[in-house]
Amino acid sequence: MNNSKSAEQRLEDSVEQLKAYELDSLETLNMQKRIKNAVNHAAQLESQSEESETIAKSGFSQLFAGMKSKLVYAGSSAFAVGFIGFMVIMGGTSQTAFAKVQEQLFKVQNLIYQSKMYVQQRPIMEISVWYQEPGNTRVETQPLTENAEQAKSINLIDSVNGEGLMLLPGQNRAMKFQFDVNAESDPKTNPLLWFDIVKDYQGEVFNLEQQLVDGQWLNGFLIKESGLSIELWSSEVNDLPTKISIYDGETAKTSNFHILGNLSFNQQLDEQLFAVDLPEGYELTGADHD
Amino acid sequence: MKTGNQTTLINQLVEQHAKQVHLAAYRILGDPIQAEDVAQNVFVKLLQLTPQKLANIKSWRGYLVRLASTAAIDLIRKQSREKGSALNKQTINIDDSVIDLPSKNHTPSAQLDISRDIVQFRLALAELTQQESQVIVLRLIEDFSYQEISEQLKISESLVGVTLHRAHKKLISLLNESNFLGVNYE
Repeated sequence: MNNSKSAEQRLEDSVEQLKAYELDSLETLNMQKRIKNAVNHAAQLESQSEESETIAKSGFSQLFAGMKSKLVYAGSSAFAVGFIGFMVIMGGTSQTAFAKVQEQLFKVQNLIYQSKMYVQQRPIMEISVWYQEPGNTRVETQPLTENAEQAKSINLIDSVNGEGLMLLPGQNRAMKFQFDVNAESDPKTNPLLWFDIVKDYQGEVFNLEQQLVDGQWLNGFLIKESGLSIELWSSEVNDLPTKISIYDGETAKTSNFHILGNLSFNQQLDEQLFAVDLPEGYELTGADHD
Repeated sequence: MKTGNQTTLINQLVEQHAKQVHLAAYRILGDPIQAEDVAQNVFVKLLQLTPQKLANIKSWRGYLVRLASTAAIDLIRKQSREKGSALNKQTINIDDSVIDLPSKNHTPSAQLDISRDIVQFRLALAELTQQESQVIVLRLIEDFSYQEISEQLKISESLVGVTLHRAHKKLISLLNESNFLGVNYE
């Protein structure tokens, strides 16, 4: 204990030491380079950000402007909200502390996202997403409300060719749809926009305390975007995110809606998951039915 | 949408001021990675400023160091709230208080004492109001003049003086309190 000095002297000594801190020139140059890269990267994103924010705020359905009616038909507005959250969450993994996570996400070939959505603490819907590079996505939604067994929907989306198939297993009905894929950089028509966002995101990230899950230490991060709080945990081993929590309040417990999800990456995915052929026994219906 | 000119300007500012900005954050946080995060955010956020606002900034050094110091203070306040004040817990882990001091002209014992004092100083800083902590940091650590602090915080020079005096007294009191309470080092 340093009791012999007065508090005044301790303060002076502390300040003197703090003022004496210096960086060597090599450290400074490297730091300048990293900061410049971040600035230039953020400047490039600036031109896209307004459009991206609009999409995040206005809803997933607008991302698929040409698919909107089908999404509504599926009765999956909650799914849309969930997916927005997913887009946002995947868009928040950047900044220096997230560099390794971001680096790993650049290498991702496929992912599986399985989640449950809660509204006012009540489970409302299960949402599962399978994504395979370069542009195959399967989205399954299952409402958890009473008598909703028939309301399951499956969206098979081929974002390379701009086409998809919606299946309603409870009714043995299917609907083909097309959407315009002009270019990958067009956020209104690119269903993979969220993936671009996650790789390019430069927002602020807060560290959370590590969690030990199944014997594995997970690094926790909190980001806040478009009114959502998002907690994300990534593996210490491979730096890929494995758990997600999205909520719209200050805390998950006080939130109006809350999504808890698990993520896994680079698994062996069956090609049939993404097959857009009409399954046997299904009746093809809908506006895009040729 | 940002122009190439604005990005070029910010890149020049990085070259001129990144070191000071980083140091300003590092002195408060004591963590080079967190300090770089703060410094990076300071410069990236300049992209959000309008050209008019950029043109109105008279002292870039003052502006950037003030932003970095404020962000760093906010961070230690947040960390202090999350972890609970070590002053209140009367316990500081010795690992937290071992600091690589720039000045080596101390005995190991004295160096440890100063390391602990720096930890105490940072904890005490988190106990001050935002304005008090800003004034203390800008005046005592960053050597800003009263006029510079007045311009940066948009308060009168007399209020700078009053705030500095009050904050200094609080700091001394907090440091005395930590001594009186016998903060334990594990």
